[in-house]
Amino acid sequence: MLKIKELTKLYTTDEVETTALRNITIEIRDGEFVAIMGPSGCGKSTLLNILGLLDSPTAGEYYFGKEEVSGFSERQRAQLRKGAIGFVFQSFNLIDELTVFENVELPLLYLKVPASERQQKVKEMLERMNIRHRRNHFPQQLSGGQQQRVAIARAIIANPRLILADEPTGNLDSTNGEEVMKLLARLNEQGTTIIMVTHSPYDANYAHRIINLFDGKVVTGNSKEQFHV
Amino acid sequence: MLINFLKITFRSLLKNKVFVLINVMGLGIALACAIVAYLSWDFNNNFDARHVNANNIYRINFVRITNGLPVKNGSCPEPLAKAIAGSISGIDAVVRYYPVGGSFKVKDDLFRLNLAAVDANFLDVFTFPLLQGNKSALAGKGKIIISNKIKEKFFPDTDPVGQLVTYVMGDKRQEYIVGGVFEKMPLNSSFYFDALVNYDNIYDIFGWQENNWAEFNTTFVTLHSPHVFHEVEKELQQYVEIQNRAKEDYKVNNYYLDPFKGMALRAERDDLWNHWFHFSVPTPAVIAPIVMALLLVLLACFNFTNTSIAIANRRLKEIGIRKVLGSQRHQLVAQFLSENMLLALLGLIAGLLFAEFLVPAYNKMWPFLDITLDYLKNIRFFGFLLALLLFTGLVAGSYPAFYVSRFKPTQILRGTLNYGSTSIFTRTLLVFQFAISLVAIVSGIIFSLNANYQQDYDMGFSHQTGVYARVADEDGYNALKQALQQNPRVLAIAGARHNFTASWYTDPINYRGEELDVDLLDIGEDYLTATGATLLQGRNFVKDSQTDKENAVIVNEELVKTLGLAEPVGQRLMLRDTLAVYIVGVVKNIYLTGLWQPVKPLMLRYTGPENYRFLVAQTDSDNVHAVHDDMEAAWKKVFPDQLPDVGYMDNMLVEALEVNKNIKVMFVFLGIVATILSAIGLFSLVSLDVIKRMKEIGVRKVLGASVMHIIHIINKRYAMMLLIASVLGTVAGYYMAEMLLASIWTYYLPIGPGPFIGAVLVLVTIAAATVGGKVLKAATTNPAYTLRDE
Repeated sequence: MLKIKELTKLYTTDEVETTALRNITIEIRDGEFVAIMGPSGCGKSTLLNILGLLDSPTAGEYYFGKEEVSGFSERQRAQLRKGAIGFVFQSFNLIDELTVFENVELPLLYLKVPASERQQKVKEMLERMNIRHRRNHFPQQLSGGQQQRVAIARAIIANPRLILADEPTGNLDSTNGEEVMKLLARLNEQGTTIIMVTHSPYDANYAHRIINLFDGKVVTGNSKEQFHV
Repeated sequence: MLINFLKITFRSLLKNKVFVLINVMGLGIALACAIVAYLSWDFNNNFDARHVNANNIYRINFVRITNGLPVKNGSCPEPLAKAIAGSISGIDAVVRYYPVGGSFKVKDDLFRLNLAAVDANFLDVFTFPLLQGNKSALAGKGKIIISNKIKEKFFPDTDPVGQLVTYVMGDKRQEYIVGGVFEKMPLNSSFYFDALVNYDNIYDIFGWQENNWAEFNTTFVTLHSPHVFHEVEKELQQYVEIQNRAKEDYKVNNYYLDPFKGMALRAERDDLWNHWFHFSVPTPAVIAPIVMALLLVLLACFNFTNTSIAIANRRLKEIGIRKVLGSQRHQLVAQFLSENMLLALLGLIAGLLFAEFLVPAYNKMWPFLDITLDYLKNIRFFGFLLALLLFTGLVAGSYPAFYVSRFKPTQILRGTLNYGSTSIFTRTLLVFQFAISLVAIVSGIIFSLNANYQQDYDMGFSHQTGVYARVADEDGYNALKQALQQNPRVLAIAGARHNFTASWYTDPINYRGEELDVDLLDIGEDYLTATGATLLQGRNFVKDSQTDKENAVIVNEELVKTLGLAEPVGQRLMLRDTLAVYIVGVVKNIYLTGLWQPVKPLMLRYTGPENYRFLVAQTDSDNVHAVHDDMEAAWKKVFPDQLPDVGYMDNMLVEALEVNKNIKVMFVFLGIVATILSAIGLFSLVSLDVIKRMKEIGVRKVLGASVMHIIHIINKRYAMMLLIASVLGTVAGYYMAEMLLASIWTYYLPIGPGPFIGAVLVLVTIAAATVGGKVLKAATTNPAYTLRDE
C-alpha cells in the first residue's frame, strides 16, 4: 500500500531547526489497521500529515502504491489526495456553513461526480451512518458523536483506499467513541486500509499493529504482529 | 460546485451581516460618486458630439502678439469669409456666424432671446435637425428659424411657420416670418442660440459697412480633405497684411485653423479671447468629482480588503478542509474572488441606488451641467459600470483571495497558524485610509475658510451695495435717472459708457517704447464716487472738461506697477499709437473679472452723458435688493416695451461664492464618508488585533500589568500609524488644496497651519472614540476568563 524509507522532516524557523521525524522507515500493507502511538510532540501528527500528502518530507522516499510521491508539487498532491485518501479529525472539522448533506457531498464535488450520482451516493452513505434524519442540519446542531459520524461519512464517500484518522475519539465520550471505533473496524474489514493516531490504548486495541514513536523515531513496531525495521 | 460556492457565500455573508452591510454601503457611496464623476466627464467629453461633420469643421482664429506674448483670438475679420470663399482651393464651405442677442416681441409680450446671424449653409455644415419648415428659410433676410423651446413659449398651440415675430434691439424694430423650427441643442454644445436669421441682417442691425476689416465675426470652414490643413493655413496668411492695414493699432500676427471638435474644451483650458460660444464644463467641476470618486473608491476597496481578511479567519477551517479534500489553490482563489465580486456587485447595485439621488443633486449644483442617470442613453455607460465592477472586485478582492488561499491545511487544522491580522499590508492600507480622510477634511476646512475669505475680499469698489442698469442712450439714462432720483434708498447715481462688472474694451498703449494692452472704460465724472472706488493719487475727472475728455486718464495700481512709474501722475502715454494721454489719477485695483483672473492694467477715460450706456446706483447693504426691484419697476414704467436689463454689481462674486459653496459641500461630503469608512477599517482591525492578543493581555495581567499599561501597548502601534497618516495626509492635503485653489482662482486664501491642526485633531478624536471602548474592554477583562480555554 505505502512505504516510507529513511524519511526525515525538519521544521526550520529563523532561529531554530526542529527535527520532527528522523530517518523513519515504515511499510503499510493493503488492508492493514495500524495505530500510531507516542507522547505529545513525538511526531505522530507530522507523520500522519506526510502520509496523507498534506505535507512533504525534508528527506527520504515515500511510495504511495508504486509511485514515488515525496517530490510531488502541492497541485499533484491535491490531485492524488482527493480520490485516494479520506481524513478523520479529532475536532471533526466539518464546515459550519454547510449542512450535513453538503459536507458529505463535498469530496464528490471535487471529483466532479455528476449530480444525480452524488445525490444517490450521499443518501446511501447517510443511511449507512444512520444520520439520514439529520441531513439538513448544520454541524453545530449535532452531538459530537453525530458530527464524527458525518466526518467519517465524508472521509469514505469517495471510496478511498486509505483512511487517516487523527485521534478520532479524542473529543467524544466513551459510548460515542466506541461506536466510532466499531465503525472504523467494520470499514477495515470491508478492505479499507486505516492508519490512526491515538493516545488511547483501548482504541489501539482495534488495530492490527501499533507503531510507537518517540522523539521522531520508531521505538517499537509490534504488538500483535512482527514488525520489520 | 458553483452552487456549493454560492450557498456557502450566502451563508457566510448572512453570518457577517454587519460587515456586508457596512462594506456594501461604503462601496455604494464610493461607486455612486464614481458614476457622478463618469457622467460629468462623459457630458464634457461629448461636447458638440452631435454634429455629423464635427471632424471636418474648423474655426478661423488669429494670434496677436501682446507684450511679446502670443494671444489667441477666437474671432476673425468680417470680410475674410468672402475673400477666401472660392479663392482657397482646399476649402469647401465657409460659414459666418454672429451672436446678435436681443429681444423679441410676439403679440404684446417681450422675450429675451439669443438670436444668431448665420450664412444660409449653416444648417448643412452643422447638425440641427429641423422639426418643421425648411432649411431654405435662411437663404433670404426676412425669415427666422426658431428652436422648439421658443416655439413652445411663443406659439404653444399654433403652427409657428408663417407667423410674424418682431425683433427689438434698443429702438430698432425688425419683423421676421418664422420659416422653421429646430430642435434645441443640449447644454453640452458650443452654440446656445434660440433663433437663426440670415447673416446679412447684421448689416442692418448694427449699421456695418460690408468689407470693413475693422469689424469681426466668427467664421467656420470645412476642408476638402484633412491633408490640405497645412496648405490652407498657409494660404490664410496672405490676408494678414490687408487686415493690419485696416486696423493698424490691432495687428494680427497669423491666422490658424482651430478644429471645431474640442473647441469648447480648449477654450476652457487655454486663454482664448473673443470666444463667442459656451465654454466646456469648468475643469474643477469635472476634476473634483473624479478625484473624489477615486479617493473614495480606493478607500472603500481598502476597507473591503481589510475587513474581508479580518473575517476570513472565521473561515480558515473551511479553507483547510477544502484543501484536505483535494481543492486546488486556484479553485479557492476563484471561490474567494467570486465572493468578493458578488459583494462588489451588491455595492454597485447600492451605488446605482445612491446615484439616483446623487446625480440629480450634483446636476443641480452646476447650472451648465445636464446629466441624468439614463441607462438607455448610451452603451458606454454600461461599459463603464462593468469596468467599475471588475476594478473594485479585483482591487478589493485579490489580496484577500490570494492571502487566505495560501495557508497550509496542516497549520490551519492543527491550530498553529499565526494568522497575521495586522500584516504590514493591512496596516499600510489603514495608513492610506487615514491619509485620504485627512486630505478630505483638510480640503473641506480650507474651502470653507476660502469662501469666507473671498466673500470679504476687497474688490476695489463697493460691489455688494451697487445696482446697475444697461440703457440705450443718453435719453434712456436721463429718463431712468429721473425715475430714481427721488428714491430715498438710492444714495448716489452715476452714468458711464462701460461698467466694472459687465463691459470694457481693450486697446494698446505705448509708454516710452514699451507696448502694453490695457482694459479701458469710459466713465462719467461721478462714476468712481458712485461705485465706491478709491482714488489713491491725483484727482477725479472735472465735469464737462473738454481736455479731460480728450487727454486725461485715471489708471489702476497694476498699470503703475507694470510700467514701473515712480511718479505716475502727469506721465504721458500714447493710446493706440495716435493719441497722447496724461495720467491725472490712480485708483486702487478693481477686480473686473472677480477673483478668477489676474487684475490687468486698467485705464479710465472721461466721457459725457451723450455716450452713457450704464446707470449705476449706490445704496447700503440693507437696501440693495429693494433698490434692484425699484430700478426694475422704474424701468418698466419708463421703457414699457423693453425688457429690464438690471443687475447687481457683485454678479462676478455671486458665481464665485456659488463655486466655493459647491466645492465645500463636495469636500465636506467626502470628508464625512472617508472618515466613517476609515473609522470602520480601524475598528475592525483593532477588534481583530485585540482578539488575537487576548491571551497575551491575560498573561501580562497575571504578571501584574496595569490597565493603563495594557491600553498603552495596544494603542502604541495605532498611534504610530495615525502619526504617519497625519504626516502623509497633511502634506498631500496641502498640495491638493493649493492645486485646486490655484486651478480655480487667482486670488485665494493663503493657507496657514490652522486647517491641518484642526483636521488632525478631528481625526485623532474620531479614531480614539472608535477604538477606545474596545481597547478598554480588552484591558479590563478578567485574565482568568481569557486563559481558561487553554
